[in-house]
Amino acid sequence: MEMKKIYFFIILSILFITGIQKGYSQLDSLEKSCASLIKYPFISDGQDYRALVLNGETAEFYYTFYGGAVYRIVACSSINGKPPVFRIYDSNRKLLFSSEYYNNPKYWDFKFTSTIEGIIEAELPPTDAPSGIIILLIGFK
Amino acid sequence: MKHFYKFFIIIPVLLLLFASSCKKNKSHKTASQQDTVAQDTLFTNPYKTTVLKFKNKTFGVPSPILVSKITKSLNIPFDPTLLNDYQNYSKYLTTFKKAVNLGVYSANLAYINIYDQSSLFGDYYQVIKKLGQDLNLTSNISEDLLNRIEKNMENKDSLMYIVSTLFRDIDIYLTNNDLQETGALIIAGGWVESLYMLTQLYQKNPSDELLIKIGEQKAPLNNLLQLLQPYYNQGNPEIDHLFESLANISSYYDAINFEYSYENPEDYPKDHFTIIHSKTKVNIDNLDLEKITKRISTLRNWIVN
Repeated sequence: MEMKKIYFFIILSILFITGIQKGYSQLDSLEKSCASLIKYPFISDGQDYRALVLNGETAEFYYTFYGGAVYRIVACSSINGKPPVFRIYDSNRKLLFSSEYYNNPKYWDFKFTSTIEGIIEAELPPTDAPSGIIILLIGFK
Repeated sequence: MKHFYKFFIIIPVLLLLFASSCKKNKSHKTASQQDTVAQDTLFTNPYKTTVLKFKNKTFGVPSPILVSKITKSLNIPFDPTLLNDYQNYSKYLTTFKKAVNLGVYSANLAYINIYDQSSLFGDYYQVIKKLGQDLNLTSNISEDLLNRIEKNMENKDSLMYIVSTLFRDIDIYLTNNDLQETGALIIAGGWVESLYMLTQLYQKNPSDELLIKIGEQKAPLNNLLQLLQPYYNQGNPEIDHLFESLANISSYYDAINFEYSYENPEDYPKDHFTIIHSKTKVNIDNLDLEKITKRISTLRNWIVN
């Protein structure tokens, strides 16, 4: 009986550690698949925007888009490889773009004719999971 | 045998305690972070305990590459006197100075690369690599990426793409390892150097376009202050000085007038492309510009010396 308990706790410990490891490797592969969509001639802005969100909650990313530049926004989530829903608002909270209108693509390109302060809002795709990670990457050319 | 059995109960418990202590360390910071951490503890994050999240708001600062692209597009000639001498590297002894000057040198590297000054690239890249090693960043970055940079020294376009990927990998590493403070300092150094370069270039090459670009730094500065705010007043006088200096510059930006007008965007779904036509008009007078130029120059000199 005593030995069974020992085995039980060994297995429990291994499962706990491998669970953490799996989380780490899932996030790494998510980062890689997201980054693969910032291809030349787009250049990464050098930052990694991440948020841990509850289901139904939104994350906000504040960003200045320079006039004359073309940006690529790549959006990824930890929910079964499905991209998050993302929207861009201006500083007055007027909607400029919503990925919902175009079946939630993984990326979208934007040309800004003038510099504007934007707010990128993102939420998890439809899921039963209580929470998930959203990653946004921004490239420009 | 009983001790052996307890050992296996203790392992998961210790791991749980360790994970929760990581969160506790963060909760020593600002009220907004305390709120965030409290919210984070409501559920289990299956990935990391260190996801960047300030009340679900994240703040981006434009890449220094874009600023150099703008000055190049305005036909403003390259000015090597603006660069922070790469030999200053040995002066930087604290983590703060190393991180913030890594940002300064990254802005210099972008400027050098955009203007195709390949003879300077090697020295500045080596300094960035050394600072990265001092901060224990590059040892965690793919050796392949560093090799690709060294092999593409003559190819301007590939180089910029690879270097920007390197900086993104560094940012990911910093986020994954709860070192966002270092990341925020690198970003701050890059932004300070960019505004310093813009204001200095304006002195020699005044134009409305450049003046507007200086005015447009208001929102990135506000974002930068939000990014640094969690580390302010936490016992590091260098960070406090940086934050207070930036807040002071921000107060001069408050006097600048912005007029924004919404225009309907144009969507091209087949190309995954949208043109945003909304416009911002910036009105900045010479007195505000003079104050900003003076303050950013003082701050930049404090950073590099």
